[in-house]
Amino acid sequence: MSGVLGIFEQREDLLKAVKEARTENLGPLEAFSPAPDEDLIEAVSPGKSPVRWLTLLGGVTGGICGMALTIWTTAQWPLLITGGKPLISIPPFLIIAFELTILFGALGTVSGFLYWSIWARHRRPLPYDTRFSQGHFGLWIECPSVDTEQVAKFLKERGATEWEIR
Amino acid sequence: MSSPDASHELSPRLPTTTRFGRVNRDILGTLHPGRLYFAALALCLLGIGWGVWSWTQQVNSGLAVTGLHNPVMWGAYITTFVFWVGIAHSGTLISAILFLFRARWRAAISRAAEAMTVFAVMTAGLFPIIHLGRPWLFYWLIPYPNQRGLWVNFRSPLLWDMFAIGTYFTVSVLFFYLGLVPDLAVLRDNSTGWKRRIFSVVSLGWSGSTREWKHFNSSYLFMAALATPLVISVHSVVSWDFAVAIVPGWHSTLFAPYFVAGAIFSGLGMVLTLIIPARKILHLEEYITSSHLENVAKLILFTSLIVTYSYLIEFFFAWYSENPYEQTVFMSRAVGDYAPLFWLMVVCNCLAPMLFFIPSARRNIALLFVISLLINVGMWTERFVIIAGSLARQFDVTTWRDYGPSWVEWSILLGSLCWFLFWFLLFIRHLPAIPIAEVKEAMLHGSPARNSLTAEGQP
Repeated sequence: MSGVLGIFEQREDLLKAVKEARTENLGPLEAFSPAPDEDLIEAVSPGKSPVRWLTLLGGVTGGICGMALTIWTTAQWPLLITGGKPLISIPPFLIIAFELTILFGALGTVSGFLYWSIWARHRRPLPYDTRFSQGHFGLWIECPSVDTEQVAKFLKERGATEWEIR
Repeated sequence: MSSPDASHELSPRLPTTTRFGRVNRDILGTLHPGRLYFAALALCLLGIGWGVWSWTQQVNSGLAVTGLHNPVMWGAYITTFVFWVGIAHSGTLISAILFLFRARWRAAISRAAEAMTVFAVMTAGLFPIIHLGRPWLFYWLIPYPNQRGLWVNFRSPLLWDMFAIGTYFTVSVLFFYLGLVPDLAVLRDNSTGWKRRIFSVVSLGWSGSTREWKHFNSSYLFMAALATPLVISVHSVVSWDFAVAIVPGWHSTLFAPYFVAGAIFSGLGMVLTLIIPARKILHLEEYITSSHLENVAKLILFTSLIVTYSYLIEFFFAWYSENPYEQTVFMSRAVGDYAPLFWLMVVCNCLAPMLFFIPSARRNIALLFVISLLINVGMWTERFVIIAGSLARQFDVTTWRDYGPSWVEWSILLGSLCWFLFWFLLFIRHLPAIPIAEVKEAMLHGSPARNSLTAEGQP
């Protein structure tokens, strides 16, 4: 995998470079920033994060598990000290189901984060500069090795202070 | 720290590289406290040791070493359990509920409040186990398949409690860690040697790429959305430990909202108790400004009013119900043997926070600190009055019996406070006390840290 990593000091320069790289169709992009930035996310990777589907899946699974656990265990060991209430008492069981909905929903959300944010990156490592966690911004443009000089020139013209050809 | 030159470095006219470098320096600079810190840490360890030793005495001799006796079988331990669970709640309020309401000012105090939540739940969770006669059998609360074919009773509020607290602890830890990942990457990039290796592992290789931020933002939002109903459910379930019983003074539908408001109120008090000294010692006055503290004071005032209303309406219930047992309990609360505690609670929780109606009182840091301490005392007393006070005055006059905690209970209470502070001290030493990425995010939107984190978003 070859490409060019440009380092920017100004967020506005980076945003412009991303948009122009998109229109000129230079290749797959990835930007780096020290803080979350909605505009940058919209420019580089538009659309909604798929994490929400795992949140939903976790929540639904948790709710079903909560009801199943309470009803099944109560049926397994019927304690007849219900004070005239039915053995399968739905209101208290709903509390357990609610807590497990939240628990599994949260576990699903974190799994989604680990999968899409962490695992996906480890599977396809990109160059990194420690200044990205300080105050600098970065733009990685993947391209065939014959085009790297041209892409580096593009980044330089858009305000990149440094660039690195891979 | 507040010299004109230094604050000029946060001016929006300067490039982000300068301003963000300053943020990193300031917040990471908190990680090198001096000798006083280690003295405090040693003192906490001593307190924990004393608490553990007292507990071994109790395990050895049984619950007879406590002041517990029929009919008051729930005393200082359950009071302290409810107290610490309550403390946890404001952390989630600040990190989740205020996040959903887009109250930007929360950023400066959110990390400390979240850490407080995790440690408070860790402390609270000890008490139901300490309270057991045979603490080594605590795992019987967990439904697991066993040889005898026995299952737990899901109709019992104590089981709901187990699920609520277990979920709350897990979700709080995950939420805390999720928000920490980008900041751990900052720590990684600013350290060398074995520290760098540890931070590399715990920061999960975070690189700050846009796709990482995208899924991070989404996950953080959903965690906040899940934590919000959870936090309300947890103290509701804790209140049902009492309200589901028929004990006069407990058996009320008011309990869930009343306990949730009280929990947030007590937690906000604890936030101030911890943050006011911490910002001074760590030199973070520029990030945690007096307007942040003022906003917390306003929230305290608001929740105090709800708590005061609940105290009043409880007496109204007793009077309006014409239930003689209920009326006896509430008369005993106001003018009986526990009256001094009741009036202490009224002064601390209802009267003292009223000072926050005066704007200058909200900006007086010393006064804020004193009132926050009063709230801590007042809220522990409130739970004691409700729990022990109601049990001591049940239906039959011949069973009435007063209760006071024994030295073992006081020692374990002290030990739990030291345990909580111990973790909090470790936290401010090793992790950034202010979310670095969130401060930078606020600055990216064109304003210096101080203004963007304070001006907008009144609670």
